[in-house]
Amino acid sequence: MADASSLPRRILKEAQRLQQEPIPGIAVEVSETNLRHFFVVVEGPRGTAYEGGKFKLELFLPADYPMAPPEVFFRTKIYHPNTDKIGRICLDVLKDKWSPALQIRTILLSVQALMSAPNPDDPLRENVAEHWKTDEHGALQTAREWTAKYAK
Amino acid sequence: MIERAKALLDVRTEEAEALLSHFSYDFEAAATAWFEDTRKVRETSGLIDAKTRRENSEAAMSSGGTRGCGICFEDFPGDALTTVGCAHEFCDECWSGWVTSKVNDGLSVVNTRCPMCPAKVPESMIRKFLSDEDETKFDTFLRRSFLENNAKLRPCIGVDCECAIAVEQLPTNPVSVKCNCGAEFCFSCQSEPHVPVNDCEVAKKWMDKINSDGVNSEWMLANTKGCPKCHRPILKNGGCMHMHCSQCHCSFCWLCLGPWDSGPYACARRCNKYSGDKTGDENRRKRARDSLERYVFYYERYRAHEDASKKAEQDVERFKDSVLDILIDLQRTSKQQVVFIMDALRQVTECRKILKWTYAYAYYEFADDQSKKEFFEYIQGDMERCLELLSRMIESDIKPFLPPEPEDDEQKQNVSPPSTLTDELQDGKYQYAPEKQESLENDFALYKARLIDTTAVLRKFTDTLVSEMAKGLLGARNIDKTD
Repeated sequence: MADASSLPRRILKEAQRLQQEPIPGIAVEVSETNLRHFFVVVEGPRGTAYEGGKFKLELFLPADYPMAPPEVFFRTKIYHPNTDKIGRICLDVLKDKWSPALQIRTILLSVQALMSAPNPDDPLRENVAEHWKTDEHGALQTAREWTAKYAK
Repeated sequence: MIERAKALLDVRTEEAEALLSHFSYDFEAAATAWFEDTRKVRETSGLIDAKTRRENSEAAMSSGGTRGCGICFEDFPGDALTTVGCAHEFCDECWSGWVTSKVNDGLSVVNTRCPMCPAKVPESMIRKFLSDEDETKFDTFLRRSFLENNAKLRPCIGVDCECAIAVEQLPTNPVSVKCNCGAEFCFSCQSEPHVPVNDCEVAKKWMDKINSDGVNSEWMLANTKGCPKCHRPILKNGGCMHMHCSQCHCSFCWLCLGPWDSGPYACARRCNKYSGDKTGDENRRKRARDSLERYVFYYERYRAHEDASKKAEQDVERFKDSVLDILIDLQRTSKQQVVFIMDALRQVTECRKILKWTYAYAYYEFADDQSKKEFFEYIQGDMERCLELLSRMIESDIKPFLPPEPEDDEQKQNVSPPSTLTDELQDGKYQYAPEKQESLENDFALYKARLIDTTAVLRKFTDTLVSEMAKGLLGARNIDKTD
């Protein structure tokens, strides 16, 4: 296990609480080599095209956290207009809406909410968003196929 | 203003600052809103009232001597934690991190709130937690925000100029302001002054128009035809006479602009037959061309006066630098005696600028009101004629009083720097015979009187035009009545 003494108390406390009171549908595991590095598995929210899938994410707390937001990436392929090919996520609280009042917990909840409510009007992948807008049924079908194929 | 707000609204200095900034430094607006609904104003501007402040502080006291910072979760003695008056306390290091990250975000730092709620962080507190370097940044943002939000202030648009221009009262019509650095701009829209066009929107529309297609309009006039249906200019891009408008999708014949018959694949009107009658589509085509021609007419005049005004500005410099000295020397007179030329030149420069905008004005203004148009063109014509007269007097009529110009270009290059000219003057090269000198001096006095006269007349014509335009050319009606 990495040395925890140099780690800000806030990060330790957040990590502790994530273990003690886990977020429903989200599993968080701290990296053994870097305590700022988290492996996350989000279950596809029920009633969405991602239902039944297990989506792996990585979350990293930069040196100036909590003044700067955490960095979060999807590590499982997902068909979603607000993500890109390499797993980056377009989410306001990860950018200009970040505030130190937010935490890892709230960020992960936001990611989960984004999966339930894709926003094709503010897209990261133009073609996926276009698909969503012109043929939502078809887009959801593709999303379900991707979930079945990649998020097992 | 802050003192006034403090006294009237009964608030603390930092609250007065925040309030005024929230209301774009409009004291009246701030006071009105404050008395209408104090609670709402406090909410939107993030100011916490004294009672809540007291309650929060008591709640914090009662929760013990050692408390946690809301950001880093470390424990601190209560007096090491700071709050803006809301229920959220943070340690110095976290406050410092918060305001520093805000400064690096940019202008929004002037409206920094508590990291957890909308409570406004006062300026003094932001400063307290910033490093010296970041405080300089903060000052810059504060200044910018003050300038950008204060309706009675405008930053100068001059390159590298840090001045701002203030007006005591908001102008009702756009006014042109001039900064000490020499930059001139319209106070309302902060672009090139466009007096006497009183509507910034019209000026902008015109600038957009000439910037987008001004250069091309002559070419377009010569090479395109207006679509018979939507009148957009169309360029023939193939050998076939069958044209298809990409905008309105109508099909027409390039030769007669009549409809295209796709059955026998020919012009439906069979325009190979000469009929001599110009109706229908031909008229429409004419209209489309007329509209382009009309634009080119106004644009050419706008452009010509713009170029001439730049030339006149150069003349002002040239006269200031050298010509005046030569005149003083040759006419054996003093500086005060030749200032009239500078007055005339400045008048010319100013008038050219005004005149160029009158063409933009005319382009948009006179769609159908013929009497106004005639009246406008009448006073515009007066001014333009007088301007050209004055311009010619400065450029040509002055020549007899100046040393003869070198004849060919090669020579010109050799003697053109003013310093050379002055040197030669000192050598007495351009001395005249005594009797010629005397008659010249008489002529010069006459010239001076005429120039002063003409300048005054031009000023009057200009004032008339500008004030008539400001009044919406109401004078047109008077003319109709007297007719």
